Amino acid sequence: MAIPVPALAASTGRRVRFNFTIPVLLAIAALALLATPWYGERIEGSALALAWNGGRWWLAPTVLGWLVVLVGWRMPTDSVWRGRVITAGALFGLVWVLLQGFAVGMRGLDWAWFAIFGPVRDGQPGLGAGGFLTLGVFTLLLSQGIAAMGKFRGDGFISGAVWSIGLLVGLFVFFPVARVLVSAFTNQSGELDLALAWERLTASDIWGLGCLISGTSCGVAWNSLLLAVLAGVLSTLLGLAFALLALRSGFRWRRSLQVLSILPIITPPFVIALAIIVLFGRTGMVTVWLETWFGIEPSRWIYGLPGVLISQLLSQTPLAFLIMLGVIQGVSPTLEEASQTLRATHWYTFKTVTWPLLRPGVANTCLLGFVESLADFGNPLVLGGNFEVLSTKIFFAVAGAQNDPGRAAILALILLVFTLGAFWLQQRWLGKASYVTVTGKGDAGLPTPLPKRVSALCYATALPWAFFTAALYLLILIGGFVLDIGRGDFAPTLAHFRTGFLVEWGERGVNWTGSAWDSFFTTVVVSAIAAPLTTAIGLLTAYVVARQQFAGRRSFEFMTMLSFAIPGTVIGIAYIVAFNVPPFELTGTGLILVICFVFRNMPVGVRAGMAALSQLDKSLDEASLTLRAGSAYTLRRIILPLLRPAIVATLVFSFVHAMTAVSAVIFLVSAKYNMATAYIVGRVEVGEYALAIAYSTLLIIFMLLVIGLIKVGVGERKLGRRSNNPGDLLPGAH
Amino acid sequence: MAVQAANVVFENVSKKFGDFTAVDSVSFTVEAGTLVTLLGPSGCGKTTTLRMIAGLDSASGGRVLIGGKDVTRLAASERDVSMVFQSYALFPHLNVIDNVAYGLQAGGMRKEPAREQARTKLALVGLSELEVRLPSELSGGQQQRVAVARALVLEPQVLLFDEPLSNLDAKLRRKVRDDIRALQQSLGLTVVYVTHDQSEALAVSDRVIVMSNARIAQILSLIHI
Repeated sequence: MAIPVPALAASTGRRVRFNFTIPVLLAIAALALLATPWYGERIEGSALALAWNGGRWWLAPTVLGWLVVLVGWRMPTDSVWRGRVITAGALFGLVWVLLQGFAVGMRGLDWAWFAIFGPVRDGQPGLGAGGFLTLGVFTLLLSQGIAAMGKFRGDGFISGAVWSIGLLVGLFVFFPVARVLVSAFTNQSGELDLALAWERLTASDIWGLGCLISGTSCGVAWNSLLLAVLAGVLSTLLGLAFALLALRSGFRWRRSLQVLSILPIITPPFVIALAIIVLFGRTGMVTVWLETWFGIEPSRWIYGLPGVLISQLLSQTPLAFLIMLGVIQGVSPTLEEASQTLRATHWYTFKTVTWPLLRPGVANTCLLGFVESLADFGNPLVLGGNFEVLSTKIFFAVAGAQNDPGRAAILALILLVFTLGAFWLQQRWLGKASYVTVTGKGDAGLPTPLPKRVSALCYATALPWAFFTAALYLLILIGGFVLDIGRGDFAPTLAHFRTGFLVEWGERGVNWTGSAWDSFFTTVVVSAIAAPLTTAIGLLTAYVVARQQFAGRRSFEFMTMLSFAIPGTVIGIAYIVAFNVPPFELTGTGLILVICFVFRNMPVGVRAGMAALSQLDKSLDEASLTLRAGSAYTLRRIILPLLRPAIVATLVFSFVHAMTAVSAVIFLVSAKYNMATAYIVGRVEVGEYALAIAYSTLLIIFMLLVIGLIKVGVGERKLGRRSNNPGDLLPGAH
Repeated sequence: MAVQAANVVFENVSKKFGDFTAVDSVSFTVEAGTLVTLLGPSGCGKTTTLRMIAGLDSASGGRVLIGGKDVTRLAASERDVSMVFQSYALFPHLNVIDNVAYGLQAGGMRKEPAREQARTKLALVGLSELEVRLPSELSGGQQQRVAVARALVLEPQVLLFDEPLSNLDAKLRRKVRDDIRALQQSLGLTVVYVTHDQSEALAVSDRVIVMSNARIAQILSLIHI
């Protein structure tokens, strides 16, 4: 943001910097107020035009902020008042735009006290290009003013980054969640109603214990907790078995285990649930087989806790496996060797040294699995049957006949408390109990082989599970190419691809006649826009947090990571509640999908960036600074080129996640902007499994292609010796 | 070369990291065109002192003056000071000439003139032939000379060295030490040099500032014959 331009001061030869940032921002603000449509729809005209002859006087005071900033900018640079005046002007502009936006609603005054400024007769729609541009520019002006006051070491770029990220996260994470909390405690007409909130909160379908006392079903909260505990513990144990096999045994196909662990990452979350229906549903292959050979009556047992649990385990075990790999590698083999030189047996060593060292990591993985399961939406939706959990209950509270946002908000609140509680527990309890034994010193020890009984147990659990997973994926792969896999009809056909993805050559060029193309293109475009934005904002945040010192850095970091702990369904309902009304009217647009992905996936970019930065010697930044480079220049020429691996990882992750996400998205899609996953869920609901599976196969293949392209496009990091380099032929002075 | 060497003055400078006092009310003057060593055991505050001259750490109290100008609140990128880092901190993705030209380009100079100017500094340290190599393709001694060329390219008022010999093998140390001294003398640079090696300090400097426990224990003026 700071654009330093060197000019030679004749007398000394020292460079003097002239800062263009503020005048450029002021010019953009003027453009936004004078010549850009202020509203998003219905009412045409810029803010000042509408204020002048549209009777919308409340749009005018923003100019006051602009003028104050202008005055501040003209003040001498060494005056202490310069920064304060700019800050005050920008703050006034920012606050006023927000204030009038909330005060004057769709049908007139929403906040009655606003009338003290003057009478308001008309309502107004949500902000448009002019409004958003003004908000953005005033935020940047505010950050420049604060930098001019000497905060952020006077660095306008860092100040701008921190304030823009902070405001964006505030607007797109905190504001919607806060709106949900408010709507949980208010009635339909928007008044505070604690009695109603209490009634909703204690409803028997949330907390009821019918399944223990009588024959009825239990409340959704208990269902969710039970499922999450089971999924967390079992996926961790499976992951542990896989990881022990991969690292501590002579197992021959270790590498294929790793491949198996990548698959679920690029699989839309409910596809596995589909495959399970195909196997164990009422007309599923295994069910039919069991009936023919053993006379076992077909039933719907898979719809409910067993089915949801199995499909969650299938998608979570690979993640647990990856985490446990890291945990086991963190146990220094030397410690185990030390135990053995003290005459301990394999089993005794495992019991008294290895396992206690693994325990914090295991508990950590359990908690992550617990949270994953709570947040999962796709599997319970497809396989839940009468077994309802919080995330699906939230969805059905707003979608369909009920449409009770207040109830959805209470359920979302309970879900949020559960997940945040789990993360709090993790920080509190496990933050201290970690015994990391990886040091800078080389560790010459050899990992001790597993005790016989442990290794037997690992083989007995992991191998069948691996075969099961492989079989399911095989089923998904062929499912799209056969007539009706749901009823065991394996006649090969391309009919499903024709329905979904038919391309015809008409007289006016290509016709995308397949029914799935619309959602496919929307998904690709939205993901392709969201991925680079996620990467940029994530890595910028990481850089600011890891490499800069400023007041409030810790809380800034916490704030940017928080959206990670908020389940997708909660974000979905929150976005509907917050962005359905002015001043931020975004539902039904493609923009809201992009925004949703950017802020949901941003924490992963932050983590990847921080991890990569911790490997970069800080003296590289410092060397750049002592060579008179500003932080923006350092970021562009030194940090970014060296962060390429993290950039690739974040691009891939955010693209893939945007393509496969379902929980938040399903609330936000519209007829015009439908997403692949929402389309597939729709097909599943009407029983068209084959088309759903065909579509999923196509998505998986497409994502593999894109990942390959991203890796080629961004390229590998060039730090080592280059071949065919003319420089290598020159005589070196060694 | 038009290096305008400047003096460095510390007036009761302190640096605190939380409760820990790294530098405790230190005052000294480095005369223009001289080489002064900060000598002391690890943790005595000598590197923090050096970083406060560069502007990488900001002083908690007192004043820092360079060339008579108060720079206490000035950021590193605003100060006319360059530094040779202990790890050299060469940018691993840029080749030798681009590393040296970096400071000029950061100041807005175009690529070709910046490289042209960088070449003269590379010649000064005797590495003209290696300009298209990457840092990873250089020996430790060569890397260090690139770091010196890169620091000299902006013709700074003050040049700082942070333990420049610690990553070199014993044979090379003596030669590099003499090279640094020769360069400083021929260009008339103001140099502040941090080391924990007493003989090294005595061999290169005009004055030695001995630090211990965050304070100055002794200042020695040496007369070289």
